[in-house]
Amino acid sequence: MTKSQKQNLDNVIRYTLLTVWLLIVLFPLFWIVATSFKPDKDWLAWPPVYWSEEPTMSNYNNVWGGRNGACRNAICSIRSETIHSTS
Amino acid sequence: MARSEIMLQRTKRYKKMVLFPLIASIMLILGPALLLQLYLSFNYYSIYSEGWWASEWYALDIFSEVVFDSRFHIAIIRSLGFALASTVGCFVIGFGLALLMYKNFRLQWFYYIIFIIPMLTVPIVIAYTAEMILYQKGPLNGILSSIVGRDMLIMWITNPDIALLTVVLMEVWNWAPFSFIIMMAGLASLPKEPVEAAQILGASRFKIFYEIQLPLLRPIIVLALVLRFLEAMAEFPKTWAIFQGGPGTATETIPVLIYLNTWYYFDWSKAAAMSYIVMMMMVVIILTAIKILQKENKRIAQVQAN
Repeated sequence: MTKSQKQNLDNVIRYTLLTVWLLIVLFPLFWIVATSFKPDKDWLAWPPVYWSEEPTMSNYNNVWGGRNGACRNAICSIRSETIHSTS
Repeated sequence: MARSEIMLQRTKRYKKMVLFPLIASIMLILGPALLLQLYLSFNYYSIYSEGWWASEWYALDIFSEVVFDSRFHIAIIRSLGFALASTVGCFVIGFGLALLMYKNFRLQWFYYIIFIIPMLTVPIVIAYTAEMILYQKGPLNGILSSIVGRDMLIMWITNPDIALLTVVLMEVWNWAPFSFIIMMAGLASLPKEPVEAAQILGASRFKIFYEIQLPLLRPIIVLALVLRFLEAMAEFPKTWAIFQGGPGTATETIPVLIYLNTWYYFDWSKAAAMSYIVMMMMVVIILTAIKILQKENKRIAQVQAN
């Protein structure tokens, strides 16, 4: 095997192995993001749904918005802090 | 020569001066906790007493109860086995990645950044994400089924025989980058002349690795193994968040057992005694590791002097 053929083979093996571990590292992160856009029925579907057919923002809405969401929570905390500290 | 002796003395004094505030503050913060644990190991604390100072003197009864407790023995064996498996796994993957990546190549920076990410993630996030993925009808089994061909419904979380292995896999995913960066640093610090000389003399790559690079890397390998082992012995969030001790007691490692004794059974004295026994064990392991490290460093210094 010539030197450049050997180097090519090295590169192929290197990139293959590294990409395998790359996919193993990235999959959970991808899964979190993908699941955050899934409607309820796709969360625990079998065969597993890797990217939902009907992506939705309802999960983000539940966390951030509405009566019990993070935004209202934060504003209420700030308001009660200012009222408490200035009274 | 007198001048180098003075420099040596000055270096030693400087080291002590710099380390003193650090050690003093650690002792200030850890001291009360350690003393309280010591006190509770000898005095039985019951939640019915008016306070920790009203604990009854039990002498060595608490320690003997812990030392002869078979649940404690099995937890130690589980912890040691788990730490060993996770250390070896992290080391193999970390070293393998470092060997593939220490020479500069085109997308090195890209792979490097992404490989570091698992180490930077919060362990609880990893625990709950893994719980989602390892669900019996979840994506991991789905991918395995696609590869193998037929349905692989492995019970990662609910099978007591596999539960500890599941935690090991999560731990390896989380901390392999740690071993990876230590070994990258080690490989980068190797001198190039012996390798180049051997290549000119026509040695095979495997021989160069095994006889030149590996012996020079031994102290760093010991360091990577020891650091990982100690951290793995103290692993708590991933084990607790998903398993709370495992199906039955399958993943009851030492941190989990101590936590159960402190906050579920409220047997603070037993937990304190357990903590102390485990701490003594770890101190012995650390001292052994430091001795091995010092021997390796001396050996390398000798080789380099010749």
